[in-house]
Amino acid sequence: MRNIKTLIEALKNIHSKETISYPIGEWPGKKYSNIPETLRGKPIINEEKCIGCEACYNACSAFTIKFFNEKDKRRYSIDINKCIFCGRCEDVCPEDAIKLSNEFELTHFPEENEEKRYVKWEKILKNCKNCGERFATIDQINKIHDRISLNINPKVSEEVLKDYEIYSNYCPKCRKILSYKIGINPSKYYLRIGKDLKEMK
Amino acid sequence: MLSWLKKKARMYSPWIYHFHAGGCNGCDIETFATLIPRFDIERFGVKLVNSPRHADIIIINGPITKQFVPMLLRVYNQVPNPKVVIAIGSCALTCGVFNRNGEENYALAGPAEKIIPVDVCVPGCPPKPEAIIQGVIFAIKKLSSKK
Repeated sequence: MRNIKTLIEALKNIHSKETISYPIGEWPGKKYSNIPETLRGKPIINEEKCIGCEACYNACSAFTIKFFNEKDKRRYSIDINKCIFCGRCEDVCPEDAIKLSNEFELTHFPEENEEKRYVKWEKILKNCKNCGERFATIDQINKIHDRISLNINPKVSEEVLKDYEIYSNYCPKCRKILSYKIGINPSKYYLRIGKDLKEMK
Repeated sequence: MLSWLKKKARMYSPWIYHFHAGGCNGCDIETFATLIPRFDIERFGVKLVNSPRHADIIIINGPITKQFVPMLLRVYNQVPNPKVVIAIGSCALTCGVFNRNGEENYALAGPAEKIIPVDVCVPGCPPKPEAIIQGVIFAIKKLSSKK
């Protein structure tokens, strides 16, 4: 009895295909097989959007994202052999510059390392006026300027943005040393806020 | 003439030996998924064999633990020439999440490249079954160029 049932089942499905013809041909509807939209594959970087904040470097769970300074440029790289495609960098990126694509055919020979194995991009750095150290990317400094101008109280905005332009030319160490010399010491803001509060009362 | 025939026969029946060396079993499940009728890697003539002496291709999964090193070397030496090694998953390629940059893990003997020559890399954690099929096709290409 069982054999007859299985035979009927087999005859019903005699025309339906089950095997995916992967390397050649198309699966009905989509190429190759059903690739979901949420599939996490090779990460792709939009270099114009990236500001070089290193958030992805801090969030990376497999320690694949690396960077190093070379003259006036900071070079970033992702090792695809080590990446586990967790998508944390995509979550963390403030500018949506890094995104995981649907590309999953990443097979390569170990001889052709550089092209297929690494995702690479670079950013230009800014020098400190005092000591000449390279401390941050230009895009990041500009982005902070934009953020400040959006959120600041309009009463003090002009003064603060003027100060920021001076402030952004120095590295964190030199800011501490030279803050009174340049006139960007924070105490003047505190005094000003105190006065405003008295006026409010 | 005979060698030509041998080579041609080898192209259409590359047999696979599957070697699991530590790791989380994710890549193993995907490699076995390629053997089921949906992905059906057997249409390329591939067959999973139990003895490395019968195999042409070795598939390695997982970061290689220190206990596994003598076994891996023994298996590698038992496979007759020409042979191709496929490393599947980020663990087999670079130890993946188990190894930080520069720091060594006390339990691991490093990625597969340190111990035996790897011919084809299939990155992913785990790779899709289609990606593994692509890796096997690459391996067959490499097998044709070897003597």
